[in-house]
Amino acid sequence: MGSEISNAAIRLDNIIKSYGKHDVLKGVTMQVNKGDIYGLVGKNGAGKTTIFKMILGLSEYTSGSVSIDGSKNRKELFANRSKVGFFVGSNFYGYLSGKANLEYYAAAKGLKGKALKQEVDRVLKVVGLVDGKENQKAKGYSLGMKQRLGIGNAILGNPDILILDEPTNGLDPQGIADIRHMIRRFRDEFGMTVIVSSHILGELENTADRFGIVHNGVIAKEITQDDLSAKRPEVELTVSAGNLERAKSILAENGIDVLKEGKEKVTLEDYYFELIGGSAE
Amino acid sequence: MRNLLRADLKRIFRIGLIYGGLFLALIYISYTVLEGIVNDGSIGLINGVQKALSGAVMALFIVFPTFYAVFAHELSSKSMQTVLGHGITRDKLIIAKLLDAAILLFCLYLVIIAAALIVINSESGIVLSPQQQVNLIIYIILRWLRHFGYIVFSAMIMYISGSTVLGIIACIAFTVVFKLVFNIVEFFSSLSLYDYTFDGLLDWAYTGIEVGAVPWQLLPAVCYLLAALAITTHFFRRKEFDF
Repeated sequence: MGSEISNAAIRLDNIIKSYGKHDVLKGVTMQVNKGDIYGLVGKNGAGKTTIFKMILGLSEYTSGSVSIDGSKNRKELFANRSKVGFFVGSNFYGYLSGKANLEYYAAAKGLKGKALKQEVDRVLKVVGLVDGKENQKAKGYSLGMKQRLGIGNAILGNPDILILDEPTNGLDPQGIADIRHMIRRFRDEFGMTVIVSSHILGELENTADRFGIVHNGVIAKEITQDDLSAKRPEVELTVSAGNLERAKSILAENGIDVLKEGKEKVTLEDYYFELIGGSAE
Repeated sequence: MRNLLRADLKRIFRIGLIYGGLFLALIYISYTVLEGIVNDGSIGLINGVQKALSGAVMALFIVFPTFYAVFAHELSSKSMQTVLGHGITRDKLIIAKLLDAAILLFCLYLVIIAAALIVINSESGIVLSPQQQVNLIIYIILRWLRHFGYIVFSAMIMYISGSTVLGIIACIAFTVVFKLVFNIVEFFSSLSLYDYTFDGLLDWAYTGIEVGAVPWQLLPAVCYLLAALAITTHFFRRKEFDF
């Protein structure tokens, strides 16, 4: 247990958040380990964004505790928030260029002079805001460029922990693929711990290592990619179209029963709805 | 907080409205000072500076642009969320924003006063006595304090209401109609409420200084500012931020 906690980048213990008599979070306990890509999934209104607000200090929890990088009290928690970069939408000044926005936030984080310039240029390259796009006013950016700028702001200063709230919201398939690629790169190349949320389960399935399923204000289940794999059939046969009947007869001749036919596999979405009930429709 | 202050000032000085306001303020003070000198020499000069700084016109040219530059984009840009999420406390954020306004206003005042001095020096015959110089400097400082106070009160309304528009309306109200309202109230009643307002206390303090009295009125005036700051931070600490 001790080593588990020491490996925790973020830990929430029994977080309750109430607005009057209404409990939005009803005792959230979760741990994101260092080096994880942790997917926080759940339908709209499940409490994903509220969990992020608690971690970032943008909303006070009613009870429970939050720890970032092993912080043991509020003072350490405040100090360790500087280790967190986060994307929570388009948080920037529209009248400034993308580059000027990043310069502003980099300066607010304490970067100066040449180091500031180098860091901003590095981030612009990472998120692909180059070739003059960085000098356009942010209010004229497309949604995809805004998302990139927001993510650029989040990774300024190479934070240890990165929180991304619905980073692919409203993006086209190519934009979604680009963001997925970036997320993996942030962990694999820059060594960040990433927590990313989405209400579209398929988006995170191939990106995250672990998943927290948020439902009705609690983490209903934490699962890993291995858990997902375990839910899948042990052996999966793929046959070319037209040969299915022959394949089945060969299997039958050899005493092998075909228990299930179909093209579907168990996805994160399947797991989610099996757990909480309902369906994608 | 120092980093935020530095970043903010660099951002704020990119806003064109403050230069537009400053340009109009320079024309206005040059006109009033020249008009005063032509009519009454050194007395007219002092009256010209005082007239320029005391009127609603100058307040609109420098207070409103200052408020706009510092606060107008704070809520819409959601930059506060980003800054708070990086670990700065809410109290420090509020103080940093008010310091932004104080510094920007101070810079605008410096430019305006420099312009007034250039106009004064162009009239070589005008010489102010040491007492006149001291009084003029005190007057300018008190005007800066008053204008800063308008911004503090307007920011309080903006942060509590969560509305930039209400903050801007409050700013214009403080700069333009505040004294007028009290004048009307006093006209129709025997109450001298104005003397106990932030504006009235500063006027009273300056009148006292002119006749050599101790300006104790500054103390309650500063208490008004501290009270506004305390109310703002009280509400801001409990504020729930949306993404």
